[in-house]
Amino acid sequence: MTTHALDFDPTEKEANILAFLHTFAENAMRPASIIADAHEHERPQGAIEALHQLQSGGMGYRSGSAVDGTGDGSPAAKALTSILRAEELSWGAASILLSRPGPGLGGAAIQASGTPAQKEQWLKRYEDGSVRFGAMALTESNAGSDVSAIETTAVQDGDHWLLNGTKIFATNGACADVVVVWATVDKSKGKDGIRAFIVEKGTPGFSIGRLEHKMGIRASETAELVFQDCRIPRANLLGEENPSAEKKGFKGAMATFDLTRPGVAAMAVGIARAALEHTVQVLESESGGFHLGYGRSRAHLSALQDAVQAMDAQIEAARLLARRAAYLLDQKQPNALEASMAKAKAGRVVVDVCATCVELLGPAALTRAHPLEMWLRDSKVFDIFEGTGQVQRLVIARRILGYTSKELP
Amino acid sequence: MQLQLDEERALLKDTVRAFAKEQVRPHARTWEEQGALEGAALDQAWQLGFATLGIGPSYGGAAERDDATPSALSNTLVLEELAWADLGFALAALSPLHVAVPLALVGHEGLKREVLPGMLGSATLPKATGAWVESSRSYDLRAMRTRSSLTAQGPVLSGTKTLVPRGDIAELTVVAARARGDDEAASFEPYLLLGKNVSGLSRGQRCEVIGPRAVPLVDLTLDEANARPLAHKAGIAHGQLLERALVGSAAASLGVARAAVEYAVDYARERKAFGRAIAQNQSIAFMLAEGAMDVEALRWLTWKAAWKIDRDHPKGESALAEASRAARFGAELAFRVSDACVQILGGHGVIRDHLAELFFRNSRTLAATPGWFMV
Repeated sequence: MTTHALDFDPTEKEANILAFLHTFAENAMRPASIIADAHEHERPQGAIEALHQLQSGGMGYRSGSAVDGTGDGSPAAKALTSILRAEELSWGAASILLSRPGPGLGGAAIQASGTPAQKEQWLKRYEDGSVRFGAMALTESNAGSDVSAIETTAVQDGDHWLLNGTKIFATNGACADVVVVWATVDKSKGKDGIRAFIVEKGTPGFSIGRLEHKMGIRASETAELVFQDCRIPRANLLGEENPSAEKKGFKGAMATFDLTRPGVAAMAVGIARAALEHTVQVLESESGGFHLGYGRSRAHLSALQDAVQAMDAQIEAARLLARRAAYLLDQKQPNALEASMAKAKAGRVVVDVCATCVELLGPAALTRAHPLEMWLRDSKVFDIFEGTGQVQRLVIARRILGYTSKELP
Repeated sequence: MQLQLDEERALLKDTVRAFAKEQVRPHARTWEEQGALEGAALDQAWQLGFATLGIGPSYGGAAERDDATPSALSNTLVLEELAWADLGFALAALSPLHVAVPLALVGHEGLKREVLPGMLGSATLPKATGAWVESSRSYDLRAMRTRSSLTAQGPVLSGTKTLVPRGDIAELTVVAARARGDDEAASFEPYLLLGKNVSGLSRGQRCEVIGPRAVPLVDLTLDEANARPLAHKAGIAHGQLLERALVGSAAASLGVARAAVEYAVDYARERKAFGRAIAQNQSIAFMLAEGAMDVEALRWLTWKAAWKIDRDHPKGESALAEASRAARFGAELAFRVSDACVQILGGHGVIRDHLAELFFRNSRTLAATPGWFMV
């Protein structure tokens, strides 16, 4: 509880940064994303380099280190600040933002579950000024939402762990210096047997498999990672060897998502906002113009106004849920429920908004004459990665009903 | 950015919530069936004093300064909690805000001094209300048909207002009307009908409505009815009242929607089918999750709009976009989750032993009645 009054505005300083990021997103990201969409597997190096410069200047979005305030050396670099920036940059190009240099999801896992020594050893390098990536390897071809189905094994061998298995859908997986790999140490224990391991690029037995050919977010690298008798030091087990119950295994992975889901939601909001803004601009430029008609009953609205108003309200709803989830995180309050609400809402809203905008602008919107068809293709994964919309609903339902995962499987 | 209520408002919300839970909700069904609220409960709600919060001491209010204005956010919190307990009760208990809020915000100084101290000093719920709604299919707050015209004795109003809460007994009635000759502008002016017997005013029968039925909702027919201009200057009230009415609608939707989701959650945990609670089926659980998620979203949409009104109206800026979003999202959501609530209760959902059917009927009124609630 607080004596401060409710306030929905960013600080003036932050607002200035957001205005700067908007220009950056418009010039350095959006055009590059359109080129990258047409040339999959060619990294948009110029935009990535520019994002790196931006982050070095303290104006980036860093889901890993920003969450504890160390991200850019400013006390304001909190989750909320971070997602405001993520929305703005995703308005330019979410696919390129996913390719931003930094410790990435793997870094977020280390931040959430790592020992102080591990944070020092594995995260410090991301502040050396060079363009570096980190990645998380969780998904397998037979294990997505159901972590207990993970087949990659980790077997202790003296002072080492031996990893065997194949991971898929690792964002920035091929270019990452450091990958956090989730594996089972005891298949009979189901999800309680899952642990995370830190694997460095170049470790013998670790190789890159195929790069995926995707419907959207083509500027983002999505890699298969193969582990064949990959030997890593014993100390690379993420977290304590005998962690407390709440930090263990699957719960460790979930703690990561409490940090990152609001950010993913904010990215989805950025895309949805881009699509609606573009659509409204086109409508306004046509003969007769267009106005939103706020405050009128639906009997007075055209079908276009009605559709645009509905989308506008849904985007704002998703935005506020994401900000509230990030705010709670900054206040060190539990936010798992709110993070899942934000992710579930934003993931659905972005797809609905992009699809409706394509429909409203007609056949031309199906072509590259408009960026809308790209955004629609980009949008869909936001209802899937980092927990599908269905998994989010399960999380929400269990929380509001007071059920365990056994009671509501 | 501060996405959490301040201590004082959190306390206000808790106070109203406790009252709503203990003194209102247990009687909601009985009152609805009887078609009458209990006067003692209404007076008790009035005595909590939330209608006087933003009004200065010279006018009989509890605020520290005379230039205080009613907080849309505080009123929104009160309304959500009362609407959660019973929409009809909320309509009746908060009907004095229709007079207090516009007068405090934009009122003519003489009228403020004439009306507010007596009304706010009342020990029982004042007979005060607002007449906004009109029965036209195309009614909205920017398309009033009720007209005002100027005579030597002052303005007179002509037109028909409908669904006026406590319109049968009101002695102070704010009426929104369009100035004659003002066909094009999407605007209205607030007027005040002073007294029980106003020349030119006739009160119709009680409206038979889908819901809520505990509060009398009546037609008021105005045939050159004598009225007082409420605002100290023409043209200053429209935007502010429009936006406060939209946020009021959103807050009422929030209360009803939250009630429906909570009711469905409780039932789905208790009700067993095929050997387990029906909430353990994902088809049910996901409906509940969806509802809870959107209720949370509506809360923030509503609070943001109210916050913006409180902050920006004094600067002469608008919160129309925020208020419109919240009202629209709210009206749609309240019905959707009330429908889901009935569905989850199955056959019990349509039986009047349960509140689900009341939420269903009540929630459907909220999209059609902008102006019912003033925050």
